[in-house]
Amino acid sequence: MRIAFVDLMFSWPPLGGADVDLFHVVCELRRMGHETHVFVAHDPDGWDRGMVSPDTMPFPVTRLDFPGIALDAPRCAAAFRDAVDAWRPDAVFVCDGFFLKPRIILALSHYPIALRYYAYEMACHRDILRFKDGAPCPNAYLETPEVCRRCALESLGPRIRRGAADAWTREYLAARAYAPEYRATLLESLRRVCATVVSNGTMKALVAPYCPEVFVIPGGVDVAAFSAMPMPPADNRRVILMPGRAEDPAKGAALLCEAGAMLWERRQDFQILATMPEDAPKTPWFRPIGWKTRKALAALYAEASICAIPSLWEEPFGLVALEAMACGRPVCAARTGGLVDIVVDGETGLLFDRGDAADLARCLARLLDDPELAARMGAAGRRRAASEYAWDRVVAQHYPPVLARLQSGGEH
Amino acid sequence: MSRTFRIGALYSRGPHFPRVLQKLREQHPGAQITAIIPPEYPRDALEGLADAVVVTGQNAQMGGHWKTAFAVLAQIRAGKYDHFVVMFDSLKLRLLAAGSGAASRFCHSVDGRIIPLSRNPLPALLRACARSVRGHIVYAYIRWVVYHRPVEKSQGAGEKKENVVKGIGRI
Repeated sequence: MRIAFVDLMFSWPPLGGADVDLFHVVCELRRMGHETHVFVAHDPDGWDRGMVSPDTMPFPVTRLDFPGIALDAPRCAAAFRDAVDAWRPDAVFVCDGFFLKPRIILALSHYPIALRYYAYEMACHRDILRFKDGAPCPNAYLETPEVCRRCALESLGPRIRRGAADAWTREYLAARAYAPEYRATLLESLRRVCATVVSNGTMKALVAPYCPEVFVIPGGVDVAAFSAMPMPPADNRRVILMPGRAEDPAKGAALLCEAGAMLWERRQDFQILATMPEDAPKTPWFRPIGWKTRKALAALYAEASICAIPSLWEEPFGLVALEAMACGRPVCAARTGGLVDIVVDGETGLLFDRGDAADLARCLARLLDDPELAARMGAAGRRRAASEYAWDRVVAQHYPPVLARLQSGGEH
Repeated sequence: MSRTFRIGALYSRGPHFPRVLQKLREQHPGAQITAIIPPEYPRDALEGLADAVVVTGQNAQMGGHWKTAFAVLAQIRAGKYDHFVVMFDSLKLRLLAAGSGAASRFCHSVDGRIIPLSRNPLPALLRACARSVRGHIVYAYIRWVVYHRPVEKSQGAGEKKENVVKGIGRI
């Protein structure tokens, strides 16, 4: 099958989980015998769109240039349509992007289309997190458009007034997402796709009423880059690692600090390391360790006894949990979003109630008290990561039904 | 024989720095790029992006004693760069760039835009004012649209499809 991937954001080296997902899915589909071509938008005036050198990629990539103000919806949609038409695919995956995706789907609707959502970009106009006032937002654009339009205006207003040009705001303006007609365009585009691919049940519940068929497909993990490591000796001061963008309030570092303070009153045998800017406040038991590369992060897991993921938002997937499991570390995660699918409570780690610092402290204490339990959970996590979330398994198991539906033009 | 074009890029926190280096590499493929980094910065993030690395005594982005600032400035001047890049825009970094000795100085903003840092602040000030005026006009228009042109849910409940959605995978 000839499959085109259209992505408004793709960069390599990756800037986020969506880039990693696209890369591995394309590689695995090629291994399975499919022909692929990736079409990406490139903004030469910024760095968050299409920072990829096609010559260095293991699959064909075409970069389409949209310098600055040239990123308007009709021009963007026409450029992608012309480029994809020239390659003549059997089906198209519309991958990462924000407000311009509906226009691109409509421009390519003469092909069977699979639409990929990596986060809550369809439901929220403020940002991909759908997170407000310290908790997941109960609103969704298609259900409560007026609330969401006003919320987006309030949130994006300062950036628009400053003339800032981050990728989200640029697409918001280019697609005229603030206009009342945008909702009809979005609905029409959702009707025209053959399949929609999301990462967890919450996302499925949001899109299912509007899309013909929704597939829940998890992301994967590079089990070679994140390999099993022996647990550090339990007699040392044990390390609880919070990986990922820990500086983002939605990730819950403040909650982990609250739980850490509770623990510190009772015991002083642990230290929390968080991958956030080094100038963040330190305590005797909490140390921000700055940004780490993937390679450095894998090495960091060797020092850690527990991985903590105290997310307050509904993580679409939770890649860091999977990376920790692949390294053989027990995961202490909030019961939210995709984390619930990845972490098997009591088997590969412990789940605690989202936002509950006391519950988090209890879970951490249990793992600190019982190093054997922690090691057993770590080993079970490694087995689960390798058997269910290695990229070749994820693609081989979950993509054939999507491709079958595309091949039948949505009649499958 | 002309000498290699030298670019010095001063560290900024997190993943922005490799992006800037990547951008510089794209724009100046033949240049020698030097990354000026604090001791804690992960070297492996610079693989293939920088030709040389200068390690400062302290993270210049985080302030500190004025003696530290002068020490960092001395290290920068010793590089004899033709092109010097800082991120992001601040008075402190503008001063550092002005003292770098480089013929051209630029700031990479958070969203990747490249702003020339002139010794004369007037052009930059005028550009910023023009952008702000345009931004305020765009914002006023959007605000009017959002508050005066409501979305019409013309199709009501029919907007939602009727068939039952099947999912695969573990939820």
